[in-house]
Amino acid sequence: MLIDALTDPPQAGQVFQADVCIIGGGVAGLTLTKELAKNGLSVITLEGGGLKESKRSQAVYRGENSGRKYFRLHRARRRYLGGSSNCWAGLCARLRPTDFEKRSWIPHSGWPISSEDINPYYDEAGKILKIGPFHPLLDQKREPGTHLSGPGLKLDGFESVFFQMSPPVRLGKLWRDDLKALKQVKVFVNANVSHLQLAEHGQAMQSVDCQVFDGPKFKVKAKFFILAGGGIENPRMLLNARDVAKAGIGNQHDFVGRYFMEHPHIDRESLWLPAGMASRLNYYRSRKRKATKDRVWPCLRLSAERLAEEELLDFSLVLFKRSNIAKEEKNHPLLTAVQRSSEYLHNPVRKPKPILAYTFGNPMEQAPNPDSRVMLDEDGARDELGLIKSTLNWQLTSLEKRTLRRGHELFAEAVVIGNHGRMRVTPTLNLDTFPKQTKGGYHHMGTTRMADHEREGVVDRDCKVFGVDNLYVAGSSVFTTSGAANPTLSIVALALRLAEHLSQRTQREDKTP
Amino acid sequence: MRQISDRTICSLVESTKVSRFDRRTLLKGIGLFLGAGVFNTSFIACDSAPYLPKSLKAKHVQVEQIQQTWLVPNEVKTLGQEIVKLVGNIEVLVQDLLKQIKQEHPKGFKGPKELSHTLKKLHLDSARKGQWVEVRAWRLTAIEVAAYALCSYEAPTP
Repeated sequence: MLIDALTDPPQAGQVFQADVCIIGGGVAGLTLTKELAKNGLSVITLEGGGLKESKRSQAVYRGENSGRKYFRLHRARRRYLGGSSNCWAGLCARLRPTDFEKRSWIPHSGWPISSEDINPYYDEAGKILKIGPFHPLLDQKREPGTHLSGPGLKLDGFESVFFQMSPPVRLGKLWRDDLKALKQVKVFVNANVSHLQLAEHGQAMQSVDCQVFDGPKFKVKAKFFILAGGGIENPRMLLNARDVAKAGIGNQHDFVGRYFMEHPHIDRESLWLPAGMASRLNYYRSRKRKATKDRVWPCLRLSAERLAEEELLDFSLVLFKRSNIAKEEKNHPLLTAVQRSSEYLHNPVRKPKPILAYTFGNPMEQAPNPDSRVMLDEDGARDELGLIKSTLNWQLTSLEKRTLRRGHELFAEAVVIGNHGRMRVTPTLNLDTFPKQTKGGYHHMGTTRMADHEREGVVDRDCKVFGVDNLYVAGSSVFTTSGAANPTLSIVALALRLAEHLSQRTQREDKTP
Repeated sequence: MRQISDRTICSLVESTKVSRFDRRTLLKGIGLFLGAGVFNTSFIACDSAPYLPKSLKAKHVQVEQIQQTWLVPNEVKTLGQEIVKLVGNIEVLVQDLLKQIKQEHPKGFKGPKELSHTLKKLHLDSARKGQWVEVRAWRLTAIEVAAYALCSYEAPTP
């Protein structure tokens, strides 16, 4: 059942009850809604926005930025049914097994779960996001439909992998009819959660308060509550609920909002190769696989062994062909000289060939950093619902800087060793500051991090908030480390895992006399 | 003293279209183009294409032999000049290259292809060993840096 609280408002003070109450109708929230309903649980899902984007709803996401330059917070996500799947580009990739491991050179790394715990859910997550069958590496055995034409570049220490591309799915639109048809489900849109109410003893959630713009207030009570509002809203909701837990829910050790991670992108570095390399580089174009009809986008990444050897964060390299070589040559006076010289070195009698230019983007992992955080507005500025607005303080460390610099160096060196061409490592990478063009990927992770112990994070391995028996968190805010993979696929996989956990827990508790 | 930009040097070198770069030709060209008043200014730029350094004079026969065998286009010389200007201890690298070439081909070369083949082999070995030199943000191997610099030296005066 899909209810628009604006056009079909509940009565003031009305109390709804369900097995599970999900706060947020985005990728994680809607996946959980469908999955829990499939397992026979009654679900109430509360989405603050409507069926379409509205200025008034987006304004609730407004906040300040006190750290690195970042997107305006109300523009960095979408507040209507489907959440940020509404503005998603569709890139899917699994987290690598090493992303879950404790890496001695990355402080605060190491999930309480391993890749084995999430892998069983990736295939189902892929179906939800409408991507094709998964194949981790292109040079693995060639099953029908897995092979892409062209050999790609053989680069020392690097491996060719690929992003799988979702059409992309807009879950709010795609599942609207399904949600309407589910009898044990109530999806409220335009139902803004204004308060999380803990029980007096503080060890369980009691209810959530909802507010309709210019309309009534109502309550939802449930056995279990799942916070699925995204990496900025999840900590904001928890920190705003201070009536019982004075520091905010789950914040007894001051972890809520900390360890905010993004995928820093720098899309400027250029790679110049002789035109003869065109066929190899075509391999890195986004394309449709013939057999499976799904889209993939090959990219390069450093092998896990090399990352460990160099003590770097993870990163991917995505290549884009550039057409304006003349401009490049003007900007880099030695370009022609370097390229021609290296060609001449290899074959002094052959006529020089035209040069191809590629830019590469490199979304990279960000190290967990307690000083990079989402906080409540210092001056107590509030949104229309009365909740204190968020302030983002995005911080990067010297490890990201070193990864960027060394990653580019290794790529430049591998290109020479492979006799493919030349790459210029931008001199600004030597400076203490990050290049101006450093930006995020609209990925908000880590702010309610998963840990083994409440002294290390906010949620446990089952995504349950430490110290609160019936409150769970879904979405990328539970990521302990970010990896270099786009988070959506893992968000869905973790939501499926959480749905299974809750279904089993409900069954267990129902059997207990 | 005003310094001519790197871009000016490159464009000047490319515009001369000489197969063997000659410092005096360039100086003359700059003098004619810019007038005598800026002659001293242009001298700094021309230092990037120096005569064979003293430390390499003893090897001048080998240097000449390599230069005559491996007739390089202007782009290589341009890069060589930039390297001489920017990279410290370049003479040590060139000495080392000459030594390695001598070991590989004690009796000299049959032609540019053979020399190039040797340089390519040494260059890739150098890359695998991680002997990198950064020239204006480009990563070059110690071997090619030495080779390009060597080609940019003027032949020693008799």
